Amino acid sequence: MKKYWRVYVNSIQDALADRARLVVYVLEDFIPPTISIMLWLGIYNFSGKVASGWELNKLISYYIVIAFLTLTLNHYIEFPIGFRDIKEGGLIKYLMRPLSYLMYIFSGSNGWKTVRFLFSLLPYSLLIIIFRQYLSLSPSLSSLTMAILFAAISYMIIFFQRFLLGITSFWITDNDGLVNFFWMIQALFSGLLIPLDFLPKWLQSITWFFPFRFFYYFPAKIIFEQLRPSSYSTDLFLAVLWMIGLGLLSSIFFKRGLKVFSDTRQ
Amino acid sequence: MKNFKRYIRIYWQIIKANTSLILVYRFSLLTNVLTTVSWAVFAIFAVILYSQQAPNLAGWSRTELLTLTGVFSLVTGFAYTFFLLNFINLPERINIGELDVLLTKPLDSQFLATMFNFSHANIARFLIGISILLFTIKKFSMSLAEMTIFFLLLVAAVIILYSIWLLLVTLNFYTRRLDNMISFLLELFDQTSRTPSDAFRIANSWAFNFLLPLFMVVSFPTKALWGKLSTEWILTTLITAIALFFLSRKFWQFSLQHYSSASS
Repeated sequence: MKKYWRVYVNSIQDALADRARLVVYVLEDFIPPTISIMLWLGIYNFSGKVASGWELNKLISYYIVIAFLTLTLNHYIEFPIGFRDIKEGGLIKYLMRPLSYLMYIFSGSNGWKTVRFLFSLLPYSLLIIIFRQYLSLSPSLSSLTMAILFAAISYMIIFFQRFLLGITSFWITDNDGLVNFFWMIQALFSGLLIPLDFLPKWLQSITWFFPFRFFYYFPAKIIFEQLRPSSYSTDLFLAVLWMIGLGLLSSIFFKRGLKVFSDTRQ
Repeated sequence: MKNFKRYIRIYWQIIKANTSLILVYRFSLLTNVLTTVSWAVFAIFAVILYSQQAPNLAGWSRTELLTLTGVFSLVTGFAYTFFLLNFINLPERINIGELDVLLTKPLDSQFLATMFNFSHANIARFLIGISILLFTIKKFSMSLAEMTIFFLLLVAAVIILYSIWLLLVTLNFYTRRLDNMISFLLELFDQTSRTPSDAFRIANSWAFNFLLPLFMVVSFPTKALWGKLSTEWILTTLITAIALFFLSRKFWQFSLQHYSSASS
């Protein structure tokens, strides 16, 4: 594990050296929730109501929680894997070293995420201060613990899902379109744009076939105590299954991908 | 005029070269087109979802919101097809000193730097925009004057978008660590432009003023389409487009003096 700790530390140093770029990335994270809050505020100020079953305070609190989950849980690895390592051939240097590529990417991503998280605290505090009068959150300790557990599982699911997306470059050299397509599906089905309750019933039932709802919507709903503990034991089981399943697929497809990989620099 | 014809001829050659290139990545083109179409479907779906929750979204009806989506697709379809790839690639060209290849050509550096790559996949976005507009526009009765103003504002919208991109990308001559500014702007533009400007105006006037140039790109032409944009705002948008274009061009020309190539 010592070598992966080294990768993690190097990645932190790398991120710190890239501060200007990191600040822009961090600000980018805050755009969707901030714009959504502004939109719902505009709707409320115009018509005096927001959406059926939701109060303005709760809706704004939802987006503030979503902003926190986004900056905590997201991994941004599909482009480095797909472009830098597979398309450009950088992968070869990892294959010749005594380390697991998957673990290397995971450690590196964690390093970047640590710095990104710390850099996000200031704008996040500003978001809370600006919208503090709308904030209505009082989760119990048990809800908070469950939300953290779901978030930890989501952290791994997101990592494996992005890893799989990245390694599609073994077969589709330029996978930008596919990655963007997944981002779009995820934005809709993870509760990033709007709470899943706003979706029509038929679309809500489709979300059951994907892991996306566990990413942000589920931890947020637990924090808001809108889900009873008895109702999410099945979901916890499903989330763990997704995590194990995607982890196994990542390993299997990476090995298969290596068989078709050729170093383009030679 | 002779010079203009020469540039048109050269640009046609650039498009032909780009067309040959996409044939190498056929699957990528297919997924990019599919993504573009999916985004359009998603945007229409989002309008339906939002208007179900708030039938009168800050004073905008569902048809008006659909028109906004149509104008968004039209403007972005055009701007992304002709310019986007260039602005994505330009920071790297500047940072690794590859700009020499363009600067040594006997052509305008800004023309080559910002129009060298052509994105075929985004033509789909442009066509979707036209389709949505043809569908919604039937519900409005427009005079010739309103139609002319709408087209003028569309041209202004593309110029404003182009100029903001150029201003931001040009910053890369001074710092080599801001190559993600374009993705930041794209995210900001994508999120704000599909939202009616009035929602921001009502929610927070400071946010409205800060994002004003972005609203000029999509919301203002849409409002002009059904005669809801005042003459003051029409003139302000046109003047902003001209001013931003000249400012960005001057900034580009000035910043080129700070460029040091890898070979020198």
